[in-house]
Amino acid sequence: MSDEGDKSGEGERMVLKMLTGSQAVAWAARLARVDYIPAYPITPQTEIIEILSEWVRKGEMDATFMQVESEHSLLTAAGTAAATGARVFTATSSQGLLYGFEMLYSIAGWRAPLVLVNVARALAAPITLEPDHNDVLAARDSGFLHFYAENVQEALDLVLLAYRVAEDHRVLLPAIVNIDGFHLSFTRERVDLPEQDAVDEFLPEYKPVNPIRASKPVAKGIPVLIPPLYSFFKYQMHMASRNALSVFREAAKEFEKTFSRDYAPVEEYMMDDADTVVVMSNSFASAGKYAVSVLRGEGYKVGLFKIRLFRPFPTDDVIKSLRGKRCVLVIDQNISVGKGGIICPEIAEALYHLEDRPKVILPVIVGLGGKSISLEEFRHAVSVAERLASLGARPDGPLLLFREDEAILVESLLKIASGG
Amino acid sequence: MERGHIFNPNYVLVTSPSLLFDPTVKPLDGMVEGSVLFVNSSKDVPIVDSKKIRVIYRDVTDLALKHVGKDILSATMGAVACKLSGLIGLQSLVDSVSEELEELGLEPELIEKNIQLAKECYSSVESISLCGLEYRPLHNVVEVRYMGERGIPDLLSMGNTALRKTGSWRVLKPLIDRNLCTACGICYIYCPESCISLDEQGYPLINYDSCKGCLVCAVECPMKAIKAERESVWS
Amino acid sequence: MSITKYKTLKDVPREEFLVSGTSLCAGCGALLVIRLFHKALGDNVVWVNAAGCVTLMATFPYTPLKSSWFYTAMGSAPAGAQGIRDALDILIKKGKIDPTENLKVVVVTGDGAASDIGLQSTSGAIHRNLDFFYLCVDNEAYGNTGFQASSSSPIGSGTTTTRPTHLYPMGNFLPKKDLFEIWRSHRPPYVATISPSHVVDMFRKVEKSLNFKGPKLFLALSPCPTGWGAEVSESVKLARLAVETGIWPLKEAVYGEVTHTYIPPKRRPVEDYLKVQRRFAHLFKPVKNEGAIAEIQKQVDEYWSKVVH
Repeated sequence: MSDEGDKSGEGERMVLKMLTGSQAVAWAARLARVDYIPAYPITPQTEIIEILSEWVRKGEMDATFMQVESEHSLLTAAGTAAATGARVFTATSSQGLLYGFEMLYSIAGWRAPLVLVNVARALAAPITLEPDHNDVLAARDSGFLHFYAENVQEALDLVLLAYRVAEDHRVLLPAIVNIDGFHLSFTRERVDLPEQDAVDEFLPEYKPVNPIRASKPVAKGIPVLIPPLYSFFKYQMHMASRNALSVFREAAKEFEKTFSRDYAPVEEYMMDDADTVVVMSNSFASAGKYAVSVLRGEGYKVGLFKIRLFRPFPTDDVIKSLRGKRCVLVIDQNISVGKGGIICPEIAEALYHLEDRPKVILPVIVGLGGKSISLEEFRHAVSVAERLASLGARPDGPLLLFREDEAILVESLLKIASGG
Repeated sequence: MERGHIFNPNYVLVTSPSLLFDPTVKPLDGMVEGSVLFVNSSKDVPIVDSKKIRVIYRDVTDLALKHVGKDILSATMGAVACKLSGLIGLQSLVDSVSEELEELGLEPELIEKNIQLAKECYSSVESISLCGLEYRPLHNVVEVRYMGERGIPDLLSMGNTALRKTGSWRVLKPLIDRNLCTACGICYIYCPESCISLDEQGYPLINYDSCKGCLVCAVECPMKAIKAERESVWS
Repeated sequence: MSITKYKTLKDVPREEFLVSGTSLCAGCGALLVIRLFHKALGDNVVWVNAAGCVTLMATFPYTPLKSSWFYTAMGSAPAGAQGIRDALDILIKKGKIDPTENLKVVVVTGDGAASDIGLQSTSGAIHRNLDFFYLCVDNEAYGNTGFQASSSSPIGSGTTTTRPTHLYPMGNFLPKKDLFEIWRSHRPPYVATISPSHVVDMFRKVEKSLNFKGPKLFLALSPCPTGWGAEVSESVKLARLAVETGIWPLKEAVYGEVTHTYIPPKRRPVEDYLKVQRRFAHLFKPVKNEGAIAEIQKQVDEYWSKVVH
């Protein structure tokens, strides 16, 4: 890839560039001066490891790039390297994340911080390349911190923030930064690329705890067969993850000072006087913001609430932003088959005990396997929620959004498939 | 009715007296007044924290050696538990032992030996009915605090298994006859447990705290200088 | 063999890296192999483990090892070794840690992990020429879960998933996977079979392997009295019998070139080895299965007929 950009003068701490999401997270790994990049190709992640491999081979990055034979080995090597004291970056997608899934819990249990970029892609079967969030949300309970990026700039910045939070000794947990396949990974956007010295200032060297050394033997990952001990260690992981909320805020403050971009665990969009709030995460939140701005023009008092940090779950931010609202629609781009969306119950639980909780919390499922979310669908969902609120009725299961033209398309394709 | 972990047992059966004092086992935890402790031991062992529990000592290992020729204790302890509780009759016990050992693929004669063993163990104790024994809650509930780096499951104390005293596993004890020993060091080489060291003259020393009594040393000794003796009492 | 410091058992170093008190069974062949292998390797070792019996050597808060240990997962210990090796290399290269902090990275797994679930990971690590040791303690079944068949279980052996019945009189009717040849086909610098009975042979092999950079792979016969149904005192004797009957050839391969390091002068009949183990008892009782025993003998004889003396 090309390295040229608009360098706007020596005093500046960043350079303007047009980057894809893949390039942006590769740049973040480079700027974080990672030591180790275990890799395995999978669409739509592959571009990230291609870029990093080239930089390492050209000597532009002082890191070891190691292509292994599967994601299971990839995650194993990533975890043991981090536990040995290397700063580790890796990336995968979808089936790859699931293939290595066992190791996610292990790496978190080893308390080995590293950053894994997941380029979201819906899960087989049926197999597809387009994104939704069932892959990354399968890792929800693993102990990984979850950072969700809406745009290419955020993708880059969240990788840097993720290292800082994950490696903090109050946390010591690995992190996933999710970027949606195609929508971010292959989309070029304008990015402020930080200068190396600024990143060095923001991100101190990784100081591992109990790394494996000749002078100080250690046993890691060993069985804990005594039930109270097992409970104890899992509780400790949970508390460390909760610590990440304040560590993230601290880090974000530092980040803002250095790079003039402000990140909170959540983001509010046109929410000041909103009655109805759409909850979203990741890249499709941009479509949500567009819809909100149009619906505002049509007289809907609607806003958008975006989750950027999903683990640890930002309960206080959810309460602060959503209490007193009349309707909340949670748009889940995932499906827990037989139940509904995965994020909606978490929002509902956070609000349950409030006197001024929303009258309606409407679960909405849309955007599976990369299906677009149109303005009409947003409008429809908002009006369903508002109608339920005025009737005092409860939602009858999740709202599964689909458009007529899409139904016609599906019908025609089924016809071809059946030969009918 | 308790299932899984028994917090307040009426009956506790301990296969080796050494387990009474093992910090990871703690078999006496939760025993309440009037409950029964059975210890597989030929001698009485002082029970430090004996409230008013009834302690019974029998050497069922001896019975196992007599009937089966091996220190396999599952049938013995099962039989004792059946009898002590008075809940399971002799025929049910015999049927269960037979069925379970058949499933393991044991030969009929070995199964028969185990049945005889179970029968003798069954008759070696009396039933002690503990209906109506009263339980009281023994534990406070606490909140776990965040412990920082101590909350990471890394182990930093290396080579500490010797604390576990696996010598308690031993039924047969290897004894070296210094008159026959030629200090060849073969027993030292082949001890799987690092339990044999060599003194300055090259003569072997056995660490009986840890020796599990596998007797690989006795089989490998070219001078037949290592004899096996039934362990009297483990201390 | 080239110049070696190991001439007799007297040359075995006294230093112990593995203290007593593990929770492994009395008479465990794998434990003896690990103890001796560690003496041959010396200090500054990190063991990388996949699920198996030896995983239970270290259970919180105890470890018998004076050296480091990392339990990874059943399927990917070699990848775990990759991460540690690569991390140590780059941290030393970048000057972040002192070169004296370097460690020999040693994978230790059972035969289930080595031959079945972890074979892909092993193949990958060998192919990448990872500088590591791999010690497979082969007890020829999934011992830790109660002795189910693995692809390393020998033909004719009974396990809890290959019980001999009237429909399956042989017990396990599949052949033992030839892990030595699978490893050798990658042409790594060093592959060897070892036995806890032949200690000088083992020490010389480890000594030799220390000269190579890249994968150094050891397949150790590890008698399992519990699973094999043998006297606990006879683990070493059984291992010796396996060698003397020719069932367990002692050999090495340097960059793929095979040499047998010990050729039994007069091979004992396989029956001597089989009849003392309960896992083969069905070949002898209630009626002797002459055909099956002859078939096992034939396979051993055929193997040795191809060995260049």
